[in-house]
Amino acid sequence: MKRIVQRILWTLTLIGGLPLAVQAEEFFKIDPTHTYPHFAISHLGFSTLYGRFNQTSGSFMIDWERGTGSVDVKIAAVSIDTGFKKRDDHLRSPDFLNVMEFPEIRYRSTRVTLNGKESAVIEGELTLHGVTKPVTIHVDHIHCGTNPINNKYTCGFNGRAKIKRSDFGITYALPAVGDEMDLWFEVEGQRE
Amino acid sequence: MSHPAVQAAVLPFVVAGAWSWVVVRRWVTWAGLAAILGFVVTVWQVADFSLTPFTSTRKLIWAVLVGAAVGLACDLLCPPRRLIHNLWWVLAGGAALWMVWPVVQYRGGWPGVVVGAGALLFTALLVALGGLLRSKPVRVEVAAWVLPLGAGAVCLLGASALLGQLGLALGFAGLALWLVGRRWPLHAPAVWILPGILGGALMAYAGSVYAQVPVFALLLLGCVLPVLWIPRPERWSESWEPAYRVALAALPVALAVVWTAFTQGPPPL
Repeated sequence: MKRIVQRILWTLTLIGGLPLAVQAEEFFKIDPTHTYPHFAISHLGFSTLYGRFNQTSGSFMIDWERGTGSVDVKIAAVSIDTGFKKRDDHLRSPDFLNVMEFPEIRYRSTRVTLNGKESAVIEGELTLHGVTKPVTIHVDHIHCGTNPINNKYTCGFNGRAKIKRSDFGITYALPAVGDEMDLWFEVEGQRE
Repeated sequence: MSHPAVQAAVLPFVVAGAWSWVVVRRWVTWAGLAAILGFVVTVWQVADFSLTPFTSTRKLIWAVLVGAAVGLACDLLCPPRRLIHNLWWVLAGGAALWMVWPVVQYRGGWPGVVVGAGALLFTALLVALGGLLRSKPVRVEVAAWVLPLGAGAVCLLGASALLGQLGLALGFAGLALWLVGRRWPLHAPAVWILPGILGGALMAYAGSVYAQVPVFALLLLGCVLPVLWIPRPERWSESWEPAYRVALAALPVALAVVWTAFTQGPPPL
């Protein structure tokens, strides 16, 4: 009798624990209207140009229990926007992004390490201009909760990284136009 | 040396001029290499010769270099023949298709077919016309530097400084060679004619696909070779022939530049 009670208790524990295990992994679809990949690059050493990409898609997953997750972000290279059409056309040309030939910029994580609830380190591979290189994103802000406007459970994070454009074969106007670029990813996603 | 105008105009002009001036008196065939040397110096300054990533611009650079090698082989090994010139336009069409192939694949369907067929036809046609004109050295030599010069100018205005610089370099290097050729006739060496016309055609088409060169400007550049068939007025003496041919070829180029400037605004430098 005692054995039967023990088995029932184990079974109940397992069944009860299952939703908890499922809930530990949360999947989010990136909200393109509230996701902002930004970049900054030196112009001849005189000023710093800030720009952004206006079309982003993808998904991310957070596993709070294991302190890990995954990220897959796609950026339409043609959506580059620096607030000046002529410069944007130039950045889209073969001199820089060559968007006709390489229309997609993609970042896929290979390892995510959560440091508590508010920061993380994302190791992954960035594909830019047809070249794939490892890039680490340092996340310094994570916030999750119910969006009071649409009542959807939402998570957002801010990450930053540094790359050298020459590593990706974008070498035009070096060293006049800076080689090192700062990248920021302000990402927001809704739970699926 | 880091100024775009020096890289794209002064440097290739000086290198090509010096090489052709020194070499032309002894080895006329090798003087034709001047244009490609000027182009190589600019590539070395503004781009590189690496193969990864193998972008359209790098394919274009290598197509011009291979064109020069094929041209040199033609100069050294075989006299100008129709069969050889047919081989030229077949190779040129293949090079153009190879350059735009990623876009053909990405666009797919009819839009992809239009890009691929356009590249093939535009480039093959201009190179074929260049082959036909080879029997008239004054005309084809003008085309070999005016076409890339015009392509470079419209690419520069059409938001690709890199394509612009490459085109201008090929054009200015060819101009230097052409000026030397006024005193010591070069007889339209294939090592200059083939890469000059092929490079100009590829750059113009690349400018329309990868940058913002208007299609109308591309069509105008396509007229550079056909207008050279217009006969010289009989009352004009033979000595006016080079100037007349430059004026004829420069007219569609000037219209293309004006149209591109009108629609696209100033260059992005």
